[in-house]
Amino acid sequence: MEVKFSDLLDRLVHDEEFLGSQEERETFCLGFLHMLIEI
Amino acid sequence: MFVNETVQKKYEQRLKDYTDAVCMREPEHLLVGVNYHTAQFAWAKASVEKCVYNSDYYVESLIPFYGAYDIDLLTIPLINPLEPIWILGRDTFFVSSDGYTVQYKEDVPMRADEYPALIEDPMGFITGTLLARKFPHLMEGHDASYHLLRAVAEAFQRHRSANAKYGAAAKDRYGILDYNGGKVYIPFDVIMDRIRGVKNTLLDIRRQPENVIQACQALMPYYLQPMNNLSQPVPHGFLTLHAPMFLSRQQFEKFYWPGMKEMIMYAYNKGSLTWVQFQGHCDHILDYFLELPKGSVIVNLEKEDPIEVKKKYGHHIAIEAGVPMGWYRSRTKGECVDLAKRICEECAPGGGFVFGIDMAGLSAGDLCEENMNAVFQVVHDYRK
Repeated sequence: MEVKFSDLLDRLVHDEEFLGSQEERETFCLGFLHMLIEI
Repeated sequence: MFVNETVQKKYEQRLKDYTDAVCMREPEHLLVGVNYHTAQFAWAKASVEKCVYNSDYYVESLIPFYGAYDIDLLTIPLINPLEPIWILGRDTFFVSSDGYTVQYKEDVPMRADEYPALIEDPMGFITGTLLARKFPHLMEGHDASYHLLRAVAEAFQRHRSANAKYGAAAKDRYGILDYNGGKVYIPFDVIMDRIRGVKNTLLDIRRQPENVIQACQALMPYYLQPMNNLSQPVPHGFLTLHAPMFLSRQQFEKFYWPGMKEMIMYAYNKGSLTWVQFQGHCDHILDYFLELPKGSVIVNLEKEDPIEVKKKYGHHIAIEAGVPMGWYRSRTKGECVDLAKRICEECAPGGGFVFGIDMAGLSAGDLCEENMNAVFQVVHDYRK
């Protein structure tokens, strides 16, 4: 089955072991995407 | 928490002086800002790899730099997120043969015929097509890919934490001021730096100019959003100009200036400013800054003569400039000090001036401790 990056990112953002708070989720996502565009 | 009251007072004075300077007022003291970047690893003889994996080692090895170099503003060695790059098997940023300097290798993941897809749905195209192309290891099966992505994300968080720890230590122990409130990344530079490359972008503006313009517009909301936390003059936005040195004046006006002006005004309307680093020759675009509100930018000059820029534009823009890196490396202490005095005398009156440098440090050869500290003393003694 094809892996979709958007599904991976969605799972990551809702992984409470990784991002415990709503604030962390909000500040993480776009910064992470920008980093992946830049590297 | 500051180590003592003296350091706290030093920090508070630096904040006041820097805010006055960038708000076009005469500060009580002139401040010195030099970005040493990876040259700091060379100074500390610190292992870059160990710094990446151990934030305590990073801090304890690099922070004493501020006891050796009499600068006022923060300079960050570990700018690039190397651990995520290594986890993903990329080589876009790599440590050079000297063991300290981090360089960048261009990557071009997007094809010339893909502008319509980028324009229609920028994040859909980037996540669905470009990231899959750049990171094939993330497409090998959902669970395995997810664990890899999570490892990359954790490394990204560690990188951010390490630099937050570094900045806090510089402030608490030496009163060093961090003026960087967040990156201002012009979409045209995003395309040129990260998606199409220099050569392709310069072809694209000739072969499909409207697509380039629309792509920049489509990306803009995603690059304005990180600027939402800007709210005061200091810390302010941090913009490095990459494309303008490759563009004619007409090309700059058509492709680059609209996005640049929009982002600078966005920061200004939020109550902040934008520090703009010139790279390469940018004197052909200096007069565009007169379209912006007075005092909305601090321009860090590279090739331009700061005294001439002060005469012509110093009433409208704040300037950061100083003795060039090449002088520190090749001239005598006396020559560097004489130039520093002249720059201070011509550029400091009236405010809107921070003593800086034309280029960031990268390697051991950029350290020049004796010449630099002699110059920094002159700057700090100015007006005493």
